[in-house]
Amino acid sequence: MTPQTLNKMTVKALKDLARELSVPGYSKMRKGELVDAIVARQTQPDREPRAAVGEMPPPVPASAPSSPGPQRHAPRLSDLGDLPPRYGRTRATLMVQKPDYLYAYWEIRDDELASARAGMGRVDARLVMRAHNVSAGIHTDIEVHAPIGDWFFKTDWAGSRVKVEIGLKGPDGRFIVLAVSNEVELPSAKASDRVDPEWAIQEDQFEAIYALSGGFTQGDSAQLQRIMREGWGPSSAGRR
Amino acid sequence: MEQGYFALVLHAHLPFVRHPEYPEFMEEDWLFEAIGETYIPLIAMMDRLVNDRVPFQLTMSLTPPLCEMLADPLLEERYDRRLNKLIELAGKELDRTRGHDDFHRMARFYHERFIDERRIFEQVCRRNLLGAFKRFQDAGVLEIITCGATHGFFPLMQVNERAVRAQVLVAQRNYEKHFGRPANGIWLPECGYYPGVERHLAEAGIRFFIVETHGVLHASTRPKYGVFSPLITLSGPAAFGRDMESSKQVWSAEEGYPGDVDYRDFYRDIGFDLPEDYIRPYIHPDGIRIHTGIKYHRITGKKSADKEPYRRDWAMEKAASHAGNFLHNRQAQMRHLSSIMGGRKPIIVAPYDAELFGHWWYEGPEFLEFFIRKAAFDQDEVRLATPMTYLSENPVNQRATPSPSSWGAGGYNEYWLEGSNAWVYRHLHAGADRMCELADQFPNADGVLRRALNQAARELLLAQSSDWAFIMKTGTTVPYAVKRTREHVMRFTRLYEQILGNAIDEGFLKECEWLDSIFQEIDYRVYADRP
Repeated sequence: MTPQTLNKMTVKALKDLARELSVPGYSKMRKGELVDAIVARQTQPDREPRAAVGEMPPPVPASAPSSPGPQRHAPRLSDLGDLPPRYGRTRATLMVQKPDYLYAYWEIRDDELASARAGMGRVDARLVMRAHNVSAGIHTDIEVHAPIGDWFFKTDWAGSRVKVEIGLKGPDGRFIVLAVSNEVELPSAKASDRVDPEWAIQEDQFEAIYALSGGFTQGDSAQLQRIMREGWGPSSAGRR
Repeated sequence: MEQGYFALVLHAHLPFVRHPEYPEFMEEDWLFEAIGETYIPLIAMMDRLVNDRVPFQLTMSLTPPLCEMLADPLLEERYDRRLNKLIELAGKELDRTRGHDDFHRMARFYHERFIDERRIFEQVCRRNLLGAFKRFQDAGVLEIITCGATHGFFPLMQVNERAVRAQVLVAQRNYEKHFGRPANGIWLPECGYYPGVERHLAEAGIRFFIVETHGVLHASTRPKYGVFSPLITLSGPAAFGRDMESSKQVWSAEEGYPGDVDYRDFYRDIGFDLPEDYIRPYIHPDGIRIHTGIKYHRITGKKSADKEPYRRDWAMEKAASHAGNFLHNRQAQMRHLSSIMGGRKPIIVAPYDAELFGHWWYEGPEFLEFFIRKAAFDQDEVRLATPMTYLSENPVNQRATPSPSSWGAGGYNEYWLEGSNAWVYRHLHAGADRMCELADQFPNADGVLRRALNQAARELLLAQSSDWAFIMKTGTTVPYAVKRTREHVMRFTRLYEQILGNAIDEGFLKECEWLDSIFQEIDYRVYADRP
């Protein structure tokens, strides 16, 4: 939101917005300070992919209206309780975020973890995520601690096939696998070296058509699209 | 002489937001604003073009949730109520602005425009906007394409292929319900492609889809003609790549047309500007100020806080000149491409969010109409066509598999998978696995069990909308997106447990059916291993 838009909002709406954005000390701020703090907050660069584990958003009452206030109309709906904290199945899932970043989440059942630990005979074995570059036949270990967790991690494995295993690793290096993820292929983020003989093309011609197609300007053509879509509920510019 | 094809693709989508449990619900305004500012203006535009016998072809995706909302009597009623209040407010504005020429002229403009909007909605379309779009499709000027059933982001769903397949098949079935025939094309939600998704498209009878520029440029073999010719995937459907140059002229916040000083400013709205006692009946019942749609100022200057009055005549002149400039650039681009493509006719594919035109860029529909008329009568090098027209006239194309891609920032999945929204996937994936488990276990359910299984499928699909992750990332109306994700996951989970426990609570089931009424035609068996 632009400062102009914010300036048009009431102090109450600004405070609501500030709370949503976790602006420190917002409750004691005057209007001008709120606007500045919100603008500053909004222009902060994205956080690096975090290494939090099993983070969930704070619970929202199941039937809470997003529009603040109209409790007088609040319907009586079934109480839905909370999101399932666990699914009771050991599982690891791997997803591609972008060519050099991956995201994994997992759940290891308590009983399976306990029996693996017992089988290993080491109480000091640690829970580890082993990321395999299947194409290159190499791997790297990341200590993960929580039996229900998730992790963003960076690699330089663009173009390769990757999978992860969650397992127990003893001080002697022994590794017991508890869960194996699906395999994903990281995009290579560059033009292929392969040429179809039926559709053969010279190197310089390809470079020309690549450039005409916008191949060197990717990603900078859609600012307005982002502005527009981020603001939708634009409707909502002054909403909170 | 005709040098090539230009395919304008408008992607119209809103998430399914319908709250019968409240008399008024702020997020439903997303639909009402889009109807008044984008969908009706586009219908009126196509109506004029057809009446004037202007030759043109457009492609538009109308996503299944949007279709379901546009065909919903409750939402139609609420839209009508809102429009009538808007007309009342515009009437008051006629009095309030008397004596101030610039504003009064615009007040008259809005008053007439809203009355005309009501005429089109009630009398021309008889509240059936989908029927209006369908008529243009039947007349051959509009190709309506479908989308994922609830705009699920396929690259982050592929860990369960049956869930992606269900998004495609449910969408195709919904399309047939609304348009009386299967869709030829699909807009992959967020342009999100992963190698292999074409298998599901082929199964649904889909002939073409659009991918982001680098989806074609980084395909499995080098694309000889860049994005100016489609690639045929191994399963058959054709992949058309987005052209950056034509995108940029419209999309770029810096160089794009919509930021012109003469165009209407989006942010200055009387919903925020006028005293509370005057505007109160037209904003949220709890006093939260909202956009009314009545805006009197022009952008004036990039950084200027002092906005000057909007001049409709200046804005129209600007829209006409921008349309001429856009056409001129396409002609030059087309001539150049045609000269280097060895006799093969290029196709330039330019996709935009439909709601850009009218809702965000107020003069967007007029720009489009000027452009279409100029393209039809002022030149003969660029031909407006659909991807289907291209394919029928150019059946031989290079075969290759596009690269994973999306049109989100960065070109991959990071907008929908990052710190704010990654938590949803654990639940979405577990839900997809559980839904498949149910479909396998109950291959031929009927009665209440069948209803519960169908409702479980609806809840899962609604939870999968990419809109929720998108909103969590953007930071506006986050609590609503979180609430929607949680509710659908929890309703799904409870239904799943009741079904497996052989203890379906019919009261709860009815409540879910009433709240989440999308896809009345759904058949849960779409999740079964062998349908």
